[in-house]
Amino acid sequence: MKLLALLAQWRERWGPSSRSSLNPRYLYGALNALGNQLIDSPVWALPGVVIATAVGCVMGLALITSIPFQLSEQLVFSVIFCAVSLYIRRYVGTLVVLVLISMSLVASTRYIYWRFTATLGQEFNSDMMFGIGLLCAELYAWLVLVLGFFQTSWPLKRKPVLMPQDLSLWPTVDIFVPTYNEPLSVVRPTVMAALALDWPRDKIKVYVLDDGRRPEFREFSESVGAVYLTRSDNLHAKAGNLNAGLAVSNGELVAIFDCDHIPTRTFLQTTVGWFLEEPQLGMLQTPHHFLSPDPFERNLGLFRNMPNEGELFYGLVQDGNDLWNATFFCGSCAVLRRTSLLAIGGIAIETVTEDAHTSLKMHRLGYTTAYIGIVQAAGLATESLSAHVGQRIRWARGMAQIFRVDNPLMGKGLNWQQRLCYLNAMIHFFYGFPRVVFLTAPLAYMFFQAHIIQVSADLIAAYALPHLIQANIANSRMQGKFRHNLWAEVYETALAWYILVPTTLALISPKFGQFNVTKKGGLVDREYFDWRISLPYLIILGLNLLGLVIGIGRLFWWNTHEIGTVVLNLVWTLYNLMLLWATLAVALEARQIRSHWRVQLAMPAMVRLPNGRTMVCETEDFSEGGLALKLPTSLVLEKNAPVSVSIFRGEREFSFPAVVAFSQGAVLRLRFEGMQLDDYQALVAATFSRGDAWQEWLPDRDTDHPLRGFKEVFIISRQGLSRFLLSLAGTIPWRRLRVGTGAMTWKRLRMGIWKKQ
Amino acid sequence: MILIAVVSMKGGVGKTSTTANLAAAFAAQLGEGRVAVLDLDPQNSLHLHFGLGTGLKEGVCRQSLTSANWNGVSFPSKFGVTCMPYGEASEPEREAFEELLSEQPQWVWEQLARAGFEDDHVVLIDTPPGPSVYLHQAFACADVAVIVLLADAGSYATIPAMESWIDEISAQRPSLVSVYVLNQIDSTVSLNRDVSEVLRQHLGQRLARIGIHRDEAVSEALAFQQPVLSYDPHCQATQDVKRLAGWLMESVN
Repeated sequence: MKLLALLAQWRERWGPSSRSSLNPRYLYGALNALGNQLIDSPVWALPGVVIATAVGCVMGLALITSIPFQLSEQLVFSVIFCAVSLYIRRYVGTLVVLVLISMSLVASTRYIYWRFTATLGQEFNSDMMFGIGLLCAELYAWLVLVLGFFQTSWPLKRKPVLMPQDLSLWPTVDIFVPTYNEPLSVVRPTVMAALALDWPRDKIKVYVLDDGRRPEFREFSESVGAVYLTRSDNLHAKAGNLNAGLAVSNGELVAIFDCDHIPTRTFLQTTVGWFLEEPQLGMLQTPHHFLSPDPFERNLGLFRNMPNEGELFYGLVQDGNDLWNATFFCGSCAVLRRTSLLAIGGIAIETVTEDAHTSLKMHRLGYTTAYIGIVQAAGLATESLSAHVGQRIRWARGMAQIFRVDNPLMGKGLNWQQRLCYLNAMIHFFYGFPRVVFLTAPLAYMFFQAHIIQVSADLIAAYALPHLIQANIANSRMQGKFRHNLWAEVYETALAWYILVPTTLALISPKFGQFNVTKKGGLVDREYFDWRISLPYLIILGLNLLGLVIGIGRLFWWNTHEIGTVVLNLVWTLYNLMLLWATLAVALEARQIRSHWRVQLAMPAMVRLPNGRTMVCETEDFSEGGLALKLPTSLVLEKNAPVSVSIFRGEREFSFPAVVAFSQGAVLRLRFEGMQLDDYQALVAATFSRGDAWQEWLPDRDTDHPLRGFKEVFIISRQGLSRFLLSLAGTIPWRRLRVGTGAMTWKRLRMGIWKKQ
Repeated sequence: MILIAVVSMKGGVGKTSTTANLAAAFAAQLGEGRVAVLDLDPQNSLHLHFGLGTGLKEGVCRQSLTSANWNGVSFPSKFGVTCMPYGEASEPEREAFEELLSEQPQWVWEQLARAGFEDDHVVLIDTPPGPSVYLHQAFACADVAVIVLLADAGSYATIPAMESWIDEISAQRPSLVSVYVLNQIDSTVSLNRDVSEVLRQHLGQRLARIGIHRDEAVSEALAFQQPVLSYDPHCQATQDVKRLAGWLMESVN
């Protein structure tokens, strides 16, 4: 008990609260003062000082990465490095970030250098083959790390430019909503919100570009006042569709929204200002925000708790790109200038990622691009793991295609910063190979006793750990709000295998493969395990399990002379197993029975009851089908009782007919009933279209705590294991087997577990 | 003392309820004893909203004829609002009172001043619909005139008359602030919605941004002899009245 109390005290003393980054010590401490002094020092103004410092730094880096150390020396070096970075990471300021980046660069580069010079062995044999394979994967990881530091070290955080008072200066805008096979229910709110954008009515036109040639789309578009366009062929998919729209429209600017990306009414006023300010600006991108969970978030139950894949990109990478004038076009939620677009021959059609290629072409011609990190639209995430994988395959293939046909490292018009940013975006998608290598590397030792790193295990640890730890510290400091390292590993692991093949194929033959439309807005009516998609992982998992068993054998019986190496490989295998189980948990598709996504958003509202009384309340969530209200006091209403509900946007009131779907205590759930087209328009205006709709959702969540992340992934991975086994059990037809009560108990147990989740 | 006259050109727009509810909202904001209501409507119904119904016969009408101080007919209520009812009056008494008012246009102002209200007190005056001596008296001393409207054709038709009248009074008393308030808003009724929109366009800034929603709780509250604020603190009308009171307070200061 005494020990526990002591521990509690220790936690209190050193727990999270005491090391808040808002602690004035970390804001205005001696270290900050020192940093500011350094920056403001007049020395920098002297000629040659900056260059001399830079040369000195590079030489220092070269020296410090290449000195060979004994084990004990390397250990001391690592401990000092680790202690210093753990201490200074609490201080605020970009200078601290830059110092952490430098330390990580030193540790990682030192590791890679050491790997090249001291770990490959002398003779060429199978060990060396495996070793070179692993080294290539590690080299890739190092390159991505370095480029990532370069790309995100200094986010620009561009602010919107106010529009001029004089409306006659506002440019004309065409809004393109391309669609191919998505249902009308998905496209409808987008078109309505586009029509409700705050912009002079005579200067905006909304185009529905339908490659599906559906009469109901024409009817709908005409009824709400949008222009319906279609074409005779579907050549070049989305890019061709957009180009066809360009050919028959004439607005000075073109805003593009994927058919499920619903813009807020402030979108144009937030973005267009920069086009007036900067005549060379060709494209301005805003974040893609998703109001439904992607399969990872849904199947693992992480929605809104953990930043998803996209958040790093839109929260940090694009903002970092913006500094170097290298913001990419992402296909939706962006504004483009018609003249710049026509100068490059319209949207690029050579690859399946027409968006990134379009901005690349603009950059080559000297146009600039910009990014504003304010969420101004929301859309649907991919609906299942297989759809998600399909989408990522397309991105990966497209990036590999651009790498082949219009390599950013080559050709005219780009500065080196832009080349590096594009390079990173492209090689990011080649993570398939290194990922698979990391997942299988320890097996080389387990199965064949191959020493792929030919030095003692303790030396490996002494070099590899600081590399991993420093990279983690620097990354969690820079990206902690937008990306949790370990979760990113789960995402990448799940996609690795599928990305490996198409990227390789596209590198060999860029013509291979076609555009596939990402399926959205669908239902998953019962929980199921996606066997097809997880087969490769099941195999890798099986091999790792086998490796684990063999490893235990080696530990106790066969390889007792090199226990260090066995333990190292065992730990690695266990880590891989954890990632693989978590991946399997993703493949177990959770039920998604609602046809409309419930968006959680608190809006002021009023409900008018059947007896003519009213109640002031707040919405809890809403969807196209209904909404939930949080009442100030408890109230019991009969099911299906007719009511009306009003949502307020400022002083504007939007009211909708509805019936009671559920009523208990202070919770009232309503289903819209008898909604007409103009009611739906009002609903979009009151909800999706609100300027403040997605404000709260900018990553305001927990930052990355590597150790806690480890625990979370471990829990998810354990769940993945049990759910997988249960699902396996579920495929056996218990009823027909008539094994009696045992099976029934088992089944009940299973139900219970599922209900809990 | 801030004087707020609640007026309308037409009967049945919920003027008396609005006066009572606004007064209760002011009392909730300013605290007890700082808010009073004066009923200048011979219908003599304002005090009913404050639970002062039974046995209350005295009022400003008779009190004025006997030249006694209005303090004698100021009745405190449990809702924090002091109430000066019109009081029971026979036909000759009413006629005599109205004659008095038409002879002395500042009578109400003088009586209120005599009653000893302090600078930070708020007094709301309820008036009968349409032109009358009472309305003249109220306009002669009010700081703010709250003109209650319904979002219907009847109210809409009365606006030109009201506007020309307000113009006339404003010429004499430029310090008078007049503000139109929409009552019984119901956006589920399309006519109500449309007229609201037309009024908003026609009146512009003169229409208060905050209107009062149609709410059964308002009439039920009267049946229970209390302001809607205490009858149903969670209903929309309560919230509207509170916000309106806050907004009025802000624009006066």
